[in-house]
Amino acid sequence: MPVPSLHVLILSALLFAIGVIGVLMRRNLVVMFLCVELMLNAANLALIGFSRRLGQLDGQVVVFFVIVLAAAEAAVGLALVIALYRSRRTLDADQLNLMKY
Amino acid sequence: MIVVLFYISAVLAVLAALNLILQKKTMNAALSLVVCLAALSVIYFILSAPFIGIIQLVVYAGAVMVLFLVVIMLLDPFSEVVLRNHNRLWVFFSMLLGGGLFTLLAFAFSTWQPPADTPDIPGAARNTETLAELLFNKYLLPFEAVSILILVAIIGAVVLAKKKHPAGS
Amino acid sequence: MNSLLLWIPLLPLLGFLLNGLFGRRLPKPLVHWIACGVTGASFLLAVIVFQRFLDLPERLVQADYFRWIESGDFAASFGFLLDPLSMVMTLVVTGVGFLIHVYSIGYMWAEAGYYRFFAYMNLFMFAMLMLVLADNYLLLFLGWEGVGLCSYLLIGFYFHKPSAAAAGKKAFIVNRIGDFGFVVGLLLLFVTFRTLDFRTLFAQVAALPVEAHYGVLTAVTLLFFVGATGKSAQIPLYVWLPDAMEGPTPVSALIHAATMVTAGVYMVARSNPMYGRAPETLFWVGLIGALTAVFAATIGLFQRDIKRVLAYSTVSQLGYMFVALGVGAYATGIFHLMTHAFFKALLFLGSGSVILALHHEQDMQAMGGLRKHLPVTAATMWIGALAIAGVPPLAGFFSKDEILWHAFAGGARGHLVFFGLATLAAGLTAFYMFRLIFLTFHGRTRVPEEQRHHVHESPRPMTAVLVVLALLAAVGGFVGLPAWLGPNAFRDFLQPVFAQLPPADGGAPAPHSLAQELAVTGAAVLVGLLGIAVAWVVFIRRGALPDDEKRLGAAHQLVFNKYYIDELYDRIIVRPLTWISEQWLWKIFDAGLVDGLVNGAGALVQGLGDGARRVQNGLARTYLGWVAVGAIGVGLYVLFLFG
Repeated sequence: MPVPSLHVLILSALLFAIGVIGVLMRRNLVVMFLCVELMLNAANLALIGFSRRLGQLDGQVVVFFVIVLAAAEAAVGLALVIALYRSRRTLDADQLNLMKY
Repeated sequence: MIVVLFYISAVLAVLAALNLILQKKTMNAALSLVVCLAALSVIYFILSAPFIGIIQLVVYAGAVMVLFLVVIMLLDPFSEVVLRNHNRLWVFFSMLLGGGLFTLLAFAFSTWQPPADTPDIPGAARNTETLAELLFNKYLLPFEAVSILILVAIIGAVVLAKKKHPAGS
Repeated sequence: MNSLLLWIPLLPLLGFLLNGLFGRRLPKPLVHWIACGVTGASFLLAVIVFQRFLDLPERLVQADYFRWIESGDFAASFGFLLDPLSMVMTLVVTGVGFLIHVYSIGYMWAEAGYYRFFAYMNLFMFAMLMLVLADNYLLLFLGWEGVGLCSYLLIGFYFHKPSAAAAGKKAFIVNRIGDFGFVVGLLLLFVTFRTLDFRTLFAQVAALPVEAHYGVLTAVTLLFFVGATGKSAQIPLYVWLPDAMEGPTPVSALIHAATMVTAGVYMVARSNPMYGRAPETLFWVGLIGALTAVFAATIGLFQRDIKRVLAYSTVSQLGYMFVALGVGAYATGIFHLMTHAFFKALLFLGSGSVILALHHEQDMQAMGGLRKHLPVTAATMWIGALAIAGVPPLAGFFSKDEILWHAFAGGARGHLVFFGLATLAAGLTAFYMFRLIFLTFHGRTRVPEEQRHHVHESPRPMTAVLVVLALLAAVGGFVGLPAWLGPNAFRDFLQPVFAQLPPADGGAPAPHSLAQELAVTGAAVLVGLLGIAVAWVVFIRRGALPDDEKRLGAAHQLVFNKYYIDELYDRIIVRPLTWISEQWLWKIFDAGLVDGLVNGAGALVQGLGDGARRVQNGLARTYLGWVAVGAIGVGLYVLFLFG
C-alpha cells in the first residue's frame, strides 16, 4: 500500500505553517533564517509529492534547483547577517528599524 | 511497512520543526532543523526520489547547515540570548496567519482532483538517469543559469562578509 | 514661377534663421550682409516674378505647395495666390523693406543686439510676405499674427527701457482685441461656406443671390474690420501705434508706417467680394476711416516728439485708405497704400536721421535750423512733406486726390461727409507736417551749444536710401494718373481683382463732369497749400515754438494729451479689468476655489499618506506578516475566484 498523496501534502502544509509562525515570532535573524529554510523544504516536499502523484520527474528537477538556490541564498543571507552583526552588534530583527518612516 | 516508516518520519519532522521555533538556543534550533531535514530525506526516498534524498542529505543537511553552524558559533555570545517575542497580540497574530495558511493549503490540497490514470515514475534504479536526462536536455538553460547564479552568490557572500578595511589605510 | 514665388518669403526666413541662431557669434558686417542680402534677393525675385507675371495671358497664379492642415471637412493648404493685388503688395514690401534694411545698417550700427535687430526684421519680412501672398484666410492669419509678434519684439527692442517694454505689451494686447474679431469672423466664414480658400470662397460668394447671406456677410466683414482696426490702428484701437514709436526708427518706418499697419487695408481689399456685398459694413469702414483721419490729424497738431507727429500722421493716412475702401474704390486705397509707403517711410527715416544726428533727442523744441547741418535729410524730408501734403506732382497728390474724388463722386451712403472730413484732414496734415519741417530744419537752432558741432549728416547708406525714397515719393504717383490726365495704369493693373465688384450700395456713381473733378482737385491742392501757408505764418513769420503753443490753454492741453483717450481707456477698461481680475478672479476664484481645490487635494493625499506611512514601521517581521496576509489573499483568490 503506497503512502497517500494527501498525507504528504498535508505534512508539507503543516511544515510550511510552522515555518511561517517561526519567522513571524522569532526575533533572532539566524533563527528566522532557519525557519525560511524550513519553509523551502516544505515546498520541496509538496513538489516531490505532486511529482510522484502525477508520474512526472519535472517536479524533482525543480526541487533540485530549489536546493541549489537555497544554498546560494544561505551563503548570501549569512554573509549579510555577519556584515550586519559587525556594524550593529546585534541580531535582533526588531532593532534593525532604521528604514522606518 | 514503508507506510509506517513514512508516518514515523513525518511525526519526527513536525516535532523537529516545532522544536526549531520553540528552542531558546540558536544552536539547538539549528540542530533540530538538521533532524527535520534528515527526516524529510527519508520521506523523499519513500516517495521514490532517491537522488533528491541524497542531495538533501549531502547539500542541505551537510553543507548548508554546516554554514549555519559556523555562523552561529562565530556570533556565539549572541546565541545564548533569548530572543523571542513577548507581545501576546503579535504571537496570536502569527498563529492566526500560520493557521490560516495551513487551512488554506490543506483545503486546496484536499479538494485537488488529480487525473485518474497516472503512469508510474521510474523506480529507484532509473531515477538518477532519467533526472539527468531531463536536467541536461529539457532544463539545460535553467541549469546553466543556476550555475551562474551560485557563482555570483559565492562572490557576493565573500564581498559582503569580508572585513572592511578601516578608512584611510 | 511657383518655386520662384516660394523663395520670396523663404529667403528672409533663411536670413532670420542664420542671424537668429548664429548672429551672436558672427561679425557685424556679415550680419547685415546676410540680412540685407536676403531681402535684396527677395526683392530681385519679386521683380523677376513681376516681369513674368506681366507676360502671363491670365494674370493669376495659384501655387499650392502642400496640405497644411486637414481635419474632417476642414482643409487649409499652404499655398500662394499671386494676382495683381498681391503682386503690388509684394513689390512694395520687399522694395521698401530692402531699402529700410540698408538704412538700418547705418542707424543701428552702434546699438547692442545688432544681430537680434536684423533677425527680427527678416522674420518680419517673412511674415508680411506670407500675409500678402497667402491663398487662404488661415495662412493670411498666420502671417497676420507673425507680423504682430515681430512688431511686439521690435517695439520692445530696447527691452531694458520700461516704457519700450510697456509699449510692446500695449501693441500686442490691443492687437489681440482686434484679432479676436478676426478669428470669430474666420470661424463664422468657415461655418457658413466650409472653406477659407480665397478663390473658392469668393466664387461661392459671387454666385449667391444678392440678398442671400447678406446678414452673415455683414457680420463677417464687420468682424474682419474689427481686426483691421487693430492692425491698422483705427478708432477705437489706434492707441497702440503712437506708443509703438518706442522702437528703433527703422522699425517705425518699416512696420508702423509702410507695411504692417497697412495689412488691415490689404485684408479688406483682398476681401472685396464680400465687402462689396455688405454695403452696411462699407459705410462703417468709410466712417471710421474718415473720423480717424481727422481725429488723429488734430492730435498730430501739437505733438512735440518728432516721431509722434509722424505716428499720428500714419494713423490719419491709414484712415484715408479706409475712406477709399469705404466708398468702394479699392484700387485707390491700395494706390494710396503704396505712395504712403514711399513718403511715410521717407519721413520716418528722415526723422531717424535727425534723431541720430542729435543723439536721440526727439523733442522738436530742441531742434531748429538743422538744414545747414543735414542738407540731404532736409531736402528729402521736404519732398516727403510736400508729397504727404498733396502738392502736385508728387506721389501723395495723385493718390490723395483720387481718394477725395472717389469720396466726392461715389454713390455710397455718406460719401459727402467722408469727402468733407477727408478734405479737412488733408488741410490739417499739410499744417502739422510743415510745422514739423519748419520747427526741425528752419528758424534759429535751439540745439544746445555744446552739442552743435557734433551734429552732422548721417552715413552714406542712410542718405542714399533717403534719396531713393525721395525719388519714389516724387514720381511714384505717375503710375496712377487721374482720368483727365491720362490712363490710370495702376488701376487698370488691379482691375481683375476688383472686377466682380458690384457698385457699392447698389447705386451707380453719381454722374460727374470733368469740371467737377478739376474743382475737387483744385480744392484739395488749395487746402494743402493753405495748411502749408498757415504753418509758414505761424512758425516762420511769427517764429512760434512748441513751448509757445501752451498759451493756447485748455484746447492745447486737451489735444496735446491726445484727448485723454489713453486715460479714458485706462479708467473704463483697464482698471475695471484689473479690479475684477484682482478682487474676483485672483483673490476669490483663483486663491479660494482653484487653490483651495489644489491644496485640498494635496492635504487629502498628505493625510492619507500620513496614515499609510504608519504601516512602514521598519520592523522586518511586520512586513513578513503582511507578506503572509498577501499570500493568503492570493491563495483565496486563486482558489475561489480564479479556479
